[in-house]
Amino acid sequence: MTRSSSLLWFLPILVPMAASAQPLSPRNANYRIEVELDPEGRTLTGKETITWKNLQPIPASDLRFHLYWNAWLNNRSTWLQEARLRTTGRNLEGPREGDWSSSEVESIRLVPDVGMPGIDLTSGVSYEAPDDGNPEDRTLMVVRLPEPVAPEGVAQVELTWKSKIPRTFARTGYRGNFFFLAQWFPKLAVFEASGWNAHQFHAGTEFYSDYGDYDVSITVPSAYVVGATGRETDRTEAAGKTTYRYQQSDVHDFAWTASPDYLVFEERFEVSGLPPVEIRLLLQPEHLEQKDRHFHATAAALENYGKWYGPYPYGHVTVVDPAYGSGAGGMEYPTFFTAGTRLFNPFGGGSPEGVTVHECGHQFWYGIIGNNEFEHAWLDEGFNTFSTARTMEVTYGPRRYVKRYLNPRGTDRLSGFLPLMFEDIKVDRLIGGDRLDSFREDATWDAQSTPTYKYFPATGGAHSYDKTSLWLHTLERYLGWDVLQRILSTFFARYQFKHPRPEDFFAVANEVRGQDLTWFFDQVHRSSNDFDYAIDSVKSEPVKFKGFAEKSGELVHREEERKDLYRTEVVARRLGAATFPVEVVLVFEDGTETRDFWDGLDRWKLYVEEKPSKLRYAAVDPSRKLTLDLFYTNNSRLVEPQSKLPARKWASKWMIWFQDLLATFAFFV
Amino acid sequence: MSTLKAAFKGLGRVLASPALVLFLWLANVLVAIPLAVSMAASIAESVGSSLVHQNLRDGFDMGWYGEFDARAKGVEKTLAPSLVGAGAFFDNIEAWLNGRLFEMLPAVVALGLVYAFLWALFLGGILHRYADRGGLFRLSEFFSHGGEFFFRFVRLAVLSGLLYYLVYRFASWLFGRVEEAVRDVTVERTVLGYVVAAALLVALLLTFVNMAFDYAKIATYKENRRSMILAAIKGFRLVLGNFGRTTLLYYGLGLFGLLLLGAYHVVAPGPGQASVPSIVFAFLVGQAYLVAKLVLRLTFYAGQMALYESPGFNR
Repeated sequence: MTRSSSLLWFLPILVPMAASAQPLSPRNANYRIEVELDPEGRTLTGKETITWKNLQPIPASDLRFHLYWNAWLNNRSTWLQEARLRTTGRNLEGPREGDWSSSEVESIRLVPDVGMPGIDLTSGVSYEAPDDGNPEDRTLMVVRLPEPVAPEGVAQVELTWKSKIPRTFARTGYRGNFFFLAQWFPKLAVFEASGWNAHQFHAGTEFYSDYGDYDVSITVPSAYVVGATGRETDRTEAAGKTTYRYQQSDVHDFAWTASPDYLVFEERFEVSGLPPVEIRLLLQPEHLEQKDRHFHATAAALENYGKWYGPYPYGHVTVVDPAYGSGAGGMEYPTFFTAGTRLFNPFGGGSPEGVTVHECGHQFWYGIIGNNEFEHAWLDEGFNTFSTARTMEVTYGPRRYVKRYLNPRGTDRLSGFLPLMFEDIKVDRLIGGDRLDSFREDATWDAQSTPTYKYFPATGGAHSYDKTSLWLHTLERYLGWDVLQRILSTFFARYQFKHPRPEDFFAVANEVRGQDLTWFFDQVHRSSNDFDYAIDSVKSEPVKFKGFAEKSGELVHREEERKDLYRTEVVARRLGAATFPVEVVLVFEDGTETRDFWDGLDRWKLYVEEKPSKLRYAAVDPSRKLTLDLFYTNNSRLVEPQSKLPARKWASKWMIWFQDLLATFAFFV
Repeated sequence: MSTLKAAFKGLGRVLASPALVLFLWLANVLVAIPLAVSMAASIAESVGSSLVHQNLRDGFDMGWYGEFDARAKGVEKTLAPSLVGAGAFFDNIEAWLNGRLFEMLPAVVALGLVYAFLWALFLGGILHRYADRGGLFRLSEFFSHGGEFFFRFVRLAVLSGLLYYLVYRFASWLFGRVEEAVRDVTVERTVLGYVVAAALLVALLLTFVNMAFDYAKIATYKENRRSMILAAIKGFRLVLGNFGRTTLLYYGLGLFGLLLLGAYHVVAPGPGQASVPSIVFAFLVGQAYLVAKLVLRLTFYAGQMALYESPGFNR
């Protein structure tokens, strides 16, 4: 055993982990970082010390670091190659010279102990591409260790690095004097029982890291306002520069922002039964009139998520309203998130409330529940989309349809400056929250159980966000909110500050429900099948008799139509490949109903009734428990169709538009 | 003649021929009806016997709309929630301004072009009516003049089309430059300022071409011109030679059109008609606005004709 090897064994004693009272998490990946922003050169220069403890029962012979900003080093990176498979976005346009970024580790040393000479590991650095073998991808750096880090052993490494800041990709970068710095430092991957769970950076995935303490000193020109993960604990000024020190324990990431334009506001969230939270809002001056809307939405998330799942434990959160066009909006980081709004956003249209609730909600689903977003992004994105939709519904009710005008020709990014809200057109939770419409298009592209980084890039979001939200909504309606809420809060309590996997959630659901729900998860999670139930046909006519019947012991020919008895035939069908138990209701003109719970397994089911009343309509899943049903219009069928009036009404409105369109064509003659 | 006087004189000539307005409105309705009937059939088929019909009676059902849109292929794709109330007109102004009018579905563009040709056929009759302004409106006379000038106005439309095309190409270039100029601007108000300024410039160019070709048509009619290239040049010369009055008349009427749209935005019925009378009423309110717009468009021609005919006009 070498000296360094023996030192690594004993480091738990020699190098105490950065500590604060009552650890909430294992705190096995701790970062002390000093970084300086050069706004003119658009670079970061940094130095970090990472103290990492191996919590697994196997030794680690190397360390693996994410260098996320190398995803935009050139157009051959895996991230950009995947992004080009999407049909929209700036990735098609292609970055220009000043848009590229890099993250270059200049040195890395293993530090056996305080005051002892470090072991230079720089020459042992290499890049790997475990997901696709792309030799040009440099987002995953591997550092060979002279000796493995044993179970329960600790390694401390010091890195110096330099980064070129991208024009915003994946919500990190710059625009003008606005900087939003996320995934900006060399960051350790997660060592699991089977080894490193370290992926390259993919266009459709986010991140995965261990919890720890972060102690970050940020140096910027003094004119800049800074916001970051954690609390500011110190501030020093020298030579026109200010160094801010931010510290936070029990988090798995650290992001920050700097801009001279921010207005800073603070409010305190206080609700009975929940711990208070200091909310700090960094607002663009032009959004001053939307200040209260940001605070209100943040409080709505903290209150509802806190009551439904568990309290927010950090005591503070920073809300960032990013600069116009920065592309940094709508992203979550521990105790810190970006919302995003536009000028003139009307209240009732869902923005910025929706994005604020969503990103604040990620403090729970992503921040506190630290699932692997490379492989199971749906665990946080989907749970959070569902929770956002529910919070929006209970707080604001259905939002109104908003169309944005002034979309100039020849540009992709200058669009929608003038919103027009249609007060009378409501967008309910299913459409506006669970996003059924966007899911419908992409429903069968992937099974949700496929690792997220393997989803088709253009449709992956539908499976992480929309499908999960829809199946949780289905569970809410099928099991009841009280049961689902207990499932979610139990899962939350059991796995907070841990890295749960899908099986963990399924096990909790089965346990709390007291019933095996595997059949459900097989349908919604392990399959790409679609749901669509329908009433195929309805018929309800007076009972007719024609032919021979016995009368006084003899068979006599008879033709008879009974006005007091109707024969009703209804055919319910399963059009989709997926199955779910559904209710079928037959409603008769005299107000009576018959209800049946169909297991939904067969492709069709015939219902026959002979009753004194004619059928009015039949419906499958009348209370719409199966929110995953892609087409609901076909779920009901009246005996007497009544589509003419609404069809004429909407065609008449369309005709007014079309007449004016014709007149607009005539302008050119 | 003052601009205001020309505008009122034009309006007077238009109102003096309600039969012409009625005829043109009917032509507009008749061209639109086949597709509207087709749209009604598509909606009816989509709603089928479903209970969703009630939601569509009471208002708009975004859930149904998502399904309809997902399965829509042709003209059905143009049904959108925004065509409620004044939104329908905002949509068209937007399409006009950014030129996406010509990037719509081929069937819609084709019908739009058919209507534009029809309008070219009507123009000779319209100008004759507002130049001669006397007696009863007679269709034979209307079409006789329409036919006489049809091919000339089609040629003129080709020339104006070329200019409109250039304006839209310029617009693409201009907005591309705006996008470039604001690449590092972090304040939306500033960007909006650039975009509005550029949009106004594009609107100004489109309408200026339109105004010049209005006068080209008037010159063609009044001077019985055969060369449409020379007529187009004459149109621009007339505008530039009488710059104050022509632009004041055109943009004054244009401003009035915007006020009219604003008023319609306030009174336009929403999506909530559940009975036949209320549906008919909402439809009639929309038609009333369309007629008002038509009267305004005709007032452009009639007012410009009055201005052209006025003694002080530099011809």
